[in-house]
Amino acid sequence: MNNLIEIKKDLSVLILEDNDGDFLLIEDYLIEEFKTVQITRFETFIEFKDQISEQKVRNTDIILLDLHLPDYSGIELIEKIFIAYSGIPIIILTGFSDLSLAKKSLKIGIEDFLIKDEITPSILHKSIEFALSRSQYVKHIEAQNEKLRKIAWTQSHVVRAPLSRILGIINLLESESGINEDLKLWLNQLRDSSNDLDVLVRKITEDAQEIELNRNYE
Amino acid sequence: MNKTIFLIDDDSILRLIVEMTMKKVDDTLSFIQCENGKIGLEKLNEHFQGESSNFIVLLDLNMPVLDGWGFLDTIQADHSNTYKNMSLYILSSSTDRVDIEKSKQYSFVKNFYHKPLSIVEINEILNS
Repeated sequence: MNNLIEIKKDLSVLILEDNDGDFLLIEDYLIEEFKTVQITRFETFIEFKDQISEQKVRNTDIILLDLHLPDYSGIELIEKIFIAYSGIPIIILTGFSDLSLAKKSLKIGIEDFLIKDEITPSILHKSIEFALSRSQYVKHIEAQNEKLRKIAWTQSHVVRAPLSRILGIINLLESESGINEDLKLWLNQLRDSSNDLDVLVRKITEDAQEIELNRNYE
Repeated sequence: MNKTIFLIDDDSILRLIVEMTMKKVDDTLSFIQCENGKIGLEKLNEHFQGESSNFIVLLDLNMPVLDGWGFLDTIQADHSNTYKNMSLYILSSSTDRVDIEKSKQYSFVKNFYHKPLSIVEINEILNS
């Protein structure tokens, strides 16, 4: 768990904020709280989208997002960023008037929202640290879920195939006439064992499917 | 009866098992083996161009080249005309509920069977 919440020494923050005053304040707070912090600012979504390099996106640890940019705002803005840059945690900067919108955005995957008038250096610091550790943790869980899904798929689509062949062959052998009693006994044993295995495989498939089904409710 | 059965499955042993088992129930059945959906489509069209006799398709889902879903998608538009004499069943080793639900979206899929087919299920297929 420790490695999950280890915050990078060299923090790279992307700020999308069109208001100079708000930006300067956040910039000050960041410099005050984080020893080495790289700050990149864009004033509009289009500017951000057009000018940012892939390299920069990869290195970005967190996005601080004003909900009202001149070109896009609100949920539409958030979704645009999600689509293009999924995986980077986002903290929203907002005013009191947007509280309900900010709360709604938490449901679609925003890490946190900060009311601009209430931001202090320590609140900002804490929010960023929490956002980073949570997003790393979620990524870790998602990677595990992905592995589980693959196992689930293999279970239901691959593992049962050779077993169904065995069961089919047993069916055929059992319908042969003139097999002696000894062979019949062992054939029965083979069927019982294969059926046991089938029950197990089906059970595992069923359990694994709950992961799949749960994904739909996410 | 003399029914024709298309076995569309990439597992050759499984195809053999199905054929042998079904022949025990009815030895007049004739089988056409297809190792994937694409070959299935080709043989289907080859054998039943304009012909009207009934036939049965046993379709596996996971196959290379063209899988069972691709096969279903291809014939879906035409199933009530070109393939109106077809009785199609899915025969899969999958017990995945997602597959079973998905197969219900195709109105012409008569049933979903898990491998292997039992004698009871074979009779169901042949007598329906």
